Amino acid sequence: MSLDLTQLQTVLDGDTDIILRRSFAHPPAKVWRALTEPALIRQWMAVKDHPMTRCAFDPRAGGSFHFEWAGPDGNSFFFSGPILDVREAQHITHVEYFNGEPAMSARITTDLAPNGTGTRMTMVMRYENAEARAAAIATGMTDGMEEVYAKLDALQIAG
Amino acid sequence: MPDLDQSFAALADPTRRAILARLAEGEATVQDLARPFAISQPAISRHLRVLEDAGLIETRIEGPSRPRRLKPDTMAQLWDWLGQYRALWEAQFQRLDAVLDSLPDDPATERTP
Repeated sequence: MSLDLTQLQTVLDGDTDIILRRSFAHPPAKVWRALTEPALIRQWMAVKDHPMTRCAFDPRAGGSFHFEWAGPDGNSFFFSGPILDVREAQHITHVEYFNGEPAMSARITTDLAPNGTGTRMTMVMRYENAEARAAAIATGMTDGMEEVYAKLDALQIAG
Repeated sequence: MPDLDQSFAALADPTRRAILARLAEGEATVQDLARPFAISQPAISRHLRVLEDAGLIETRIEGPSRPRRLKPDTMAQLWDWLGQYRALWEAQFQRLDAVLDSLPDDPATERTP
């Protein structure tokens, strides 16, 4: 599989932030549904070999979310946290804990802006400090490393 | 900036990636790190030396325990060149694209009450 990565912009900002920017071909109202309705979230958040075992999302200030997957070894892992601020089809702020651990939490703001007939999404993930961001990157890297290495092997960069 | 080949070589070993994942949760001593793995402390120490030489971790000198931790600066630099990591997000966003393509244009007619 080869992926066109030119659509996705990822930036490390300052010591604590990761910023993602991505455009979608559909208007903000639709993107909002895909981001907040569990039946739709399940369709795109499923991870290969990890069926989603729980998907709850209550998009209102004071609400919460819980995404959980079953790993191949029988262990489950989950992201969960409170929803802090919501403006329908425009903005959501939430806090994300990995396996309920506050040490690896991020405060995430997602903004949707109309972009022609589509949507421009900006997601800012803010960590407590540089160490917490490094830990999040390391975890993502190690979790994704098998896939990354398969790609690098294909490109004959690794080894 | 550490040597890229050296960093890649250090990351190419599954035990060393597991050690990094453990250190992502917080600093740890050789004894802490050896416990979950079915290998000896000297073997863990060799892995730690490779990771440290690659600039991925550092040792905090604190009496005899000498805990290891991730080097935040290096992790930030790694981010810059490990563009493939972004492929994981992009793959997810492309699945989101497909979900959007499948939705009707008029949400009022299809929206669950």
